[in-house]
Order: sequence, then structure tokens, then C-alpha cells
Amino acid sequence: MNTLLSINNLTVAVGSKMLVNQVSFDVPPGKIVAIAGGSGSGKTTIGLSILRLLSPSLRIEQGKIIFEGKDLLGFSKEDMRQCRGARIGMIFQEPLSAFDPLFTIGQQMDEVLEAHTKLSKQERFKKILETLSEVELPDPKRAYKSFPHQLSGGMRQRAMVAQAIVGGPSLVIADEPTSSLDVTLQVKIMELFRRLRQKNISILLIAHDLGMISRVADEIMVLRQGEIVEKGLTMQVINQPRHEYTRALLEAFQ
Amino acid sequence: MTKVINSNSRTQMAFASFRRNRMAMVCFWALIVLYGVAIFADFICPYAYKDEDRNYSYCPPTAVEFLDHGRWACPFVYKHVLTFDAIHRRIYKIDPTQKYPLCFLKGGRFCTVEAPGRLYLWGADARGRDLFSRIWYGARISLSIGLLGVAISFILGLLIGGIAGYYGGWIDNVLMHLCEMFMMIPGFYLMLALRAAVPENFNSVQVYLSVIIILALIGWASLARVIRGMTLSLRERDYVLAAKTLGVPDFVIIIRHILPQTISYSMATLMLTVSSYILAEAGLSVVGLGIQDPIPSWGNLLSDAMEIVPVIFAPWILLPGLFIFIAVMSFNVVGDGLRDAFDPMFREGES
Amino acid sequence: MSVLQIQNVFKSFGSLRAVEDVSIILQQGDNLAIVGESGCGKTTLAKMIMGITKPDAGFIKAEAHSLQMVFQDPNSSLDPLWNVRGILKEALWRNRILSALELQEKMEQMLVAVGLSAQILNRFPHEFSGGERQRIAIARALLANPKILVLDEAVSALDTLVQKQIIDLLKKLKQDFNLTYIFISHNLRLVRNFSDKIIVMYKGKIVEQGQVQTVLQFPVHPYTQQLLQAAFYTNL
Repeated sequence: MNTLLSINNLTVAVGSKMLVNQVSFDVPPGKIVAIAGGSGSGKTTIGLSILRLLSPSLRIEQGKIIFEGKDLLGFSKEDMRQCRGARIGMIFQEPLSAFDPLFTIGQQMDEVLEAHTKLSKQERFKKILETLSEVELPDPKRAYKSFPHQLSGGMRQRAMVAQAIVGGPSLVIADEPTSSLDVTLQVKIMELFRRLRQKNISILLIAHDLGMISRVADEIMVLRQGEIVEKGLTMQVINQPRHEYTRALLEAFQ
Repeated sequence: MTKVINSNSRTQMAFASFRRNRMAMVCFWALIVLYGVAIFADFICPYAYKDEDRNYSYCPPTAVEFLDHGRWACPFVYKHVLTFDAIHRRIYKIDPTQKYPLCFLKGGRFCTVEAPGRLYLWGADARGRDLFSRIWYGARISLSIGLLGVAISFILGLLIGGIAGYYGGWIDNVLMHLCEMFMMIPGFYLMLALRAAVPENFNSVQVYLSVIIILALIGWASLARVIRGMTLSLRERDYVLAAKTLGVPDFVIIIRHILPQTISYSMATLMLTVSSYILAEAGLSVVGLGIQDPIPSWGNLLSDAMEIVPVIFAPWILLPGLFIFIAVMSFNVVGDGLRDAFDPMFREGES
Repeated sequence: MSVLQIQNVFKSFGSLRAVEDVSIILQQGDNLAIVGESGCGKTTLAKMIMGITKPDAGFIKAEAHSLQMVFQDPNSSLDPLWNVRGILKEALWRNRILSALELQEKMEQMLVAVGLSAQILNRFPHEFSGGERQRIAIARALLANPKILVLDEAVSALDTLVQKQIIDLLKKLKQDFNLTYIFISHNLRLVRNFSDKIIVMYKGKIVEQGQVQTVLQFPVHPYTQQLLQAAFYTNL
């Protein structure tokens, strides 16, 4: 298959305001595609639209979201539920609010596997430990038994990546995955994303830090007020920006 | 640069949101009507609360007639005559020969009838006193006690909760232990105990004030705890720190930065507390420990309805219960509506 | 001329040593950056400099009322129930004796100085964007007539484009008002374009200090090197 995810003319509105306006882009398999934009640009809305997790007051006016050859907008609730976690994983900005504080990391990851696979309890345990060491958590067994608040910020974020990939998805949507972390940890998470890419998992990286994005992304889209103002291979967008907004963003980094 | 919106404070936005809540607005207007009629009871009610006529004991509601033998006439009431049937039950027969026309705007009241006629819109009690009038005069007591009690609880709760939360340490410890002492004792029993401490020879005004103070004392503690909790988190906000660095004294910070934030959230609790105070006063009065006869309160009006015989034959004496229900329900719904209006997550149209 | 003297300051919270033996001398006109990641003690140090917390040992000397602070989160640094007029007037608390006309003038002048319209006095914080709110916070701090402005991650919560605007504003204000800055940040890219001196903190201690250009080009301590690597982990 040529493209893993293909978004065509996606338009999302709330009331009479357009949050996302005729956005189209592709995510090839095994690549990191970044959406760069400030707050209010609509980038989070795109991520939530793909997973069909928009709040009820938002409407998808038009567009197609073709994932693995099928239009997600035509999926039933049950189909979407099966898709999330198993085919598409999601990473949020604030790991504390994404994990349930009453359950251990292991229990929450087990939930994902139980819902989407037919593995036995032992097999699930093994897979979770494997995934936890893949994200380079120093003591996977201990992480399995830990509650979210017992882990440091960086470890929690890694645990969140683990939870997103344990179901074996081919696409991971990461919305500001490192904004709440220290710089040194940000680098480590980005390196983690690179390793995921090597395993042929695609990542849709939604962030505002153009500097960080430029290091890991293969393709970049610049989003402004719901519209794509520039799109292309990373090196091209960075070295030969065509739109003035992109240029302004790049200047702000110098 | 700046979005052009109406310059609304958060309070104004919250009230706008409240106005969109239909149920809450209905109840709000119901309360306005209740308080309004209570305030103007002297004008609206046909009789003073003490005005009795034993000839009309347990008289049913007297219908206001508009047709006199098929012809339109000024509204009037027929004379009702008390008779006893075979088993000594009271029956009121209408005497169509005697008509008492309604007089409007006489003697400072909106509408009355000339003596010896009686106008009983909602029936009479055992002593022939008009229930309609007594209910509205009673509203004055029941509704005002709730409000005044809450006002005192509120001030106590704000001060004690605010000081405990802001300063922390031993002040917080002492004040919260005090709160716990009050909260430990079940409200109803505390109320009875405090009422027993009130001297026997207090006149009605003094009893009224005592009941208010008693209610305030049973309710302030939970409010204080809620405010203390809010203050604990509010005092860490950056704008509080900024005020400190600008040299603003602590007391001013508490009054101008912290308490206003707590007021918007505690308004909802206040409404719910008013309704519980109305019920508490009714409870006290029903058992005869609250406001005493002849001054009516919804509670002591209901004490007349505590025997089954009058209730079966004069069911209208249960009406005060309906009013208690309406008042309590309305305060609860308005309280919920206020809480929803001030809760940022409930407001629509916010991104 | 030194405007701030921090001498051998220590602060612990239970068994956690938040600040250990920190000494800094700040000269008039300096633009000092204090960098480090979470847990390095820079927030505790900022609170001690502002007088909000007291050090366990050592002392901090500065002229009375010469310090003001701009906080990180534009959402919580302005009281949401107050309008801009009230917020700015609070800054003039120590100068309450000014007449209403003088107050109005001062507030309007300051709003213009930070790049906002003078007409916004009746508006409320929620009507403004993050960058605009930070400008209001800066205006509030400056109205108190400080010599030193402590900027505690003051642009970290803003978008990159807005960050640049606020940094440019701060540069201009430093000249206009003859200020001294303490710029606390974890973002070395910003520091490189903004500050002259730098102090690197790690686990409560100062591990490196000096001129920004020198330290960023020739970092000595391994933690500084790590920070640099992370900050410039980019292809730009």
C-alpha cells in the first residue's frame, strides 16, 4: 500500500466557525509526518477527527479520512472502537490526565490487549513487558506494577508511548507529546519515535516546536488558523520556505 | 489584535448562562413570586393572620361567584351556614339568599368582603382563620428565617474558612477542629438542644431571632470547610503572589482576591442551605418548638394537620406543605443552576 | 553597582535539598539567565529572591521594593474576576496617594509602552490571548517601578512566534526603563538571543556560570553540555 493514511479536504466546524478548513495530506507507512502550528491552528482537532473523538459540538462538514484503504468517517462506533488502540494509537500531552490514577500501568496496558487481542494472560504479560523495555523503561517489571503518579514525568511519557503501541498499531498520533517535559527528556522521546519509525510504525506528530520537529520528521505541514500554508519534505520546508508564515516561524527560532 | 467581544466579567457570563437554563429561571421566578406576595401580604391578603370567626370553623373554600341567577354580576360570595349531619360531621350549606359582594381596595387590602360574610379562598382552619392569609403571612416568617439564617452562616463561614485556609498552620488546625465539633452533632438534635436553651419567657420576636441564630449555628461549619478548601488552593495562585510582592496586606488580599472567587461557587451551596433552613424551621414549628401560634409559619400551620380527622374532612390545611415543597424545590433548582452556570466545564460555546 | 546580592543561600524541604550554597551578585543593567530543568532549584531560588520564601541559611540583599516578577502561566497570573484597570491599579498600591487622573495616565502610558491599546482598561483577562496577558502582567510589574525584573519562564507557555514578540518587547523595555533582568528558563535558544550572563543549575547547585556566548560555545560541565545538545537538537 502506498499511503497509510490519506486525509482529503477535511473540514471541521463549531457553530459558524471553521476550525479546520479543507485540509489534505498523506502519511506514508513508516514515516514521521509533522503538523506544526500554534495554539488555535486546529492541529489537535485534526488528530481528534481521525480518531473520531471530537466533542459533540464539533461537526465534520466534509472530507474523507482513508486509513488502510477504508474511510474512517464511515465506520460505526464499534468499528472505531476496534480501530483505536489496535490500528491507531494516540499519545497525549499530559500523561497524568491520560492515565487513570487508580490503576497501575500494567493493568491499563493489559486492558488494551484484552480488548483487542485473543492472547492469554501470560502472553499479554510477556508482551507488555516487551513493550515496556522497548520504550527503554529501566525496570519494566517495576513499571508494570507502578501507579502513574509513582513514575517521573519522563517515565510516564514513555509509559504512554508503550500503551499506545502495545496493541500493535501501524499509526501513532502524538499530540504535543513532549511539551510538558524537560528538554533533555524531549530528546529521548524523539529518539524513541525514530526507533518506532524503524519498525515501520508511522507517526503523525502534532507540535508547535518547529526546531524539535525538524530533527525527526520526514515531512512537515505548517498549519495556520485551520489551513495548511505549506507542506513538503522537511529539508525543503526548512531551507526553502515559500509562505511568509513559515518564514516568520523559522525566524523566530534563530 | 484583541477579539471584539462584549466586555463581560466572568460573573456576567455566568448569569447569562443561568438565564439560558429554563428550569432554573422558572424556579427563580417562582421564588420572586413567593417573596413578593409575602412582602405585600398586608395588601394582597383579605384578612390579618389573627382574624378569626368561630362560626366558620373548617369552612371549605368559598367559591367566588360571577353569575347571579344566570346574569353577570360583581363578584360575590354566598353565605355559608354551618350544619351538622347525622354523625356530627361538619357540613357547610350555601345560603343563596345572602350575598356578600367583594369590596376592592378597602381598608388597605386588595379585596375583602363585608362582615359578617367571609371570603375563604383556600378554606379556613379550626378557628375560622383564613388559610390563604395565614399562608402568606406565614411565608414572611418561613422565607425570611431561611434567608437571615443563611446570611449569618455565610458571614461566619466566609470569615472562618477564609482565615483558616489563608494562614494555615495552627490557626487552621484550631478553626477546623471547631468546625468538626459542630459538624459532628446531628443537625436536628443540635437544633433541639439549642432550642431548649432558649428561655421560656421569650416573646415572639425573641423566639424568631433565636431560631435564626440556632439555624445559623448548625449550618456554618460545612460552608466554612468548603471555603477553607477553596482558599487553600486559591492562595497559591500567581495573582495572589503578585499582590503580595506589590505590598498588598494579607487581609486585603483575602477580601479582594480570594473571597470573591469563593462567593461564586458558594452561592450554589447557599441556595441549598436556605432550603434546608426552611425545612429545619418547619420541623421545629411542627413540633411546637418554633414560632408559636397565633403568628403563622408554614411549619406551625402544618402542625394543625397532624391529626387524621381534620385532614380527611378539611384537606386544605395541608396546603402549607405544598408551599414548603415549592420553596425548597425552587431553591434547590436555582442552586443547581447557579453551580452549573459558574462551573467552567458546563458553559457552552467555550473552546 | 550591585543591585542584588545572594550570599551562600541554602533551602531544604524536609530531606530534599532544593538550593545548596548559591551565591550570585547582580549588577545594574545585567541580563542574567538562570537555566536548569525541573527540580534544579531555580523556582525555589526565584521565590527566595522575591522574598516569598525565606532561606534556611545565607542572606539575600537588595534595595527594598526594587524587585518585581512576571510569572509563567498567563492564565493564572491575572485575577480573572478583575478588569485590567483593577489589575494595574493594584501595582500602584504603594503609591495610592496619586490622584485618579494621575493613576489613569500612568496606566495608559504603561499599556502603550508594552504594545497594547490604552482603551483596554475596562476589559477582562479572558478576553485576551496568552501573549497579550503576559504584556498586561509585564505592565503591572513595571508600574511598581522596579529596578530588577524576575522573569520566571515568562514566555515558556507561549507560541514560538509570540515568544519572539515578547522577547523583543522585553529588550526594548530594558533600555527604556533601565532595568536589570533575571531570566529563568530551560530554553537555551531563547537565552542565547536574550541574556548576557548565564548560570546553570543542577540539583540545587550552580554548576557553571559566565558570559552567555562563552558558556554556550565552550561548555565545561557535562550537564551544560547535555542541555546544549538537547536545546539545539534541531536541523534548523
